[in-house]
Amino acid sequence: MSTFLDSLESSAIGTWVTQSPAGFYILLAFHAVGMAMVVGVMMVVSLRLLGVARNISASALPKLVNFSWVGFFINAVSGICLFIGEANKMFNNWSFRWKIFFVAVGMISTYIMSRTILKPAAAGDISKLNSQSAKFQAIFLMLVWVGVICAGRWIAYIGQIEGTG
Amino acid sequence: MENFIAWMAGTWVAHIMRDVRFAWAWCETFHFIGLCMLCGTIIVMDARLLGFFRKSISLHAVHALTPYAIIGFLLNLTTGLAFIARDADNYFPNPDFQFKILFILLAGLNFLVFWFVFRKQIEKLPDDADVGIGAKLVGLSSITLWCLVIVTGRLIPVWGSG
Repeated sequence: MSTFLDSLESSAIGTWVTQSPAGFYILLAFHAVGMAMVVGVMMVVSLRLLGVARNISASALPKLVNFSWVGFFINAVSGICLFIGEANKMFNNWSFRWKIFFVAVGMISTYIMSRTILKPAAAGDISKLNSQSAKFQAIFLMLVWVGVICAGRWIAYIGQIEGTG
Repeated sequence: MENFIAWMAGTWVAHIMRDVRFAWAWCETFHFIGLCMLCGTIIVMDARLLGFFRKSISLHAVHALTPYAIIGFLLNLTTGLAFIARDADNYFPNPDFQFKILFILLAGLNFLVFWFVFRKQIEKLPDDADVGIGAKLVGLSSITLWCLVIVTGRLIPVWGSG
């Protein structure tokens, strides 16, 4: 594994990330904006399911989720590039591993929310928006994305496996 | 300025930020959560002003989301002041930080223009109305400025002071 991670770091992308200040800054900037697009917009969707801003209609919610998927794509691309630049350090950090776990849970939860609540509601079954399941999924999803933020921020502070940082 | 920086460094907030383990990390965490609340609501509100989601998001949904944008902003103001208290002598000379504050002030000014010039007109419009060019420009300025705040803020630690 470490040979693979070393090859990632010495690749063209890895070299660009670590040796080009502009490249690193650009990736960080995109990753931060993407985070606002994903977590911020999904917070609005979750707030709607919790009864806030009821004048956001059911038909808007799948569209807002689609917008947040664009943010997710931005973060996936920028995140992969950032990972490649510091592959050994990131792979061997437990905070980073938890972040990826929470991202995966967030993606799955968002997909389930779309399939079970948002798209049926947009198609006419408005009762889905007011259901207990909608409220539970909204709170769960917000907690998951907060988990992503926490784990991501704490990469710099804890979780590094000894001898790998 | 040196006196002000020295004063900030002596406050109880600065002591907590320096002496309590992981205080800085927790502030960073809440700062990012606050930015998501603020910018997430702003993205939706400004998208509506720009004419997106006209049939599906009421123009008046903007008002319902405003308190959450304010909560996000206050969370960021509080944690931001904590950062500055601990590290004022690195923040103030940093041009990236200076630009961030400038963009925040411009975004605040932009919001005041929306609140005092366009809000009352918009309240009288139907839910699916399109707003005028003036309000659209305010929406475009808002989303642009807050993106610049995010970018400059994210780059503060990597840019460093002089």
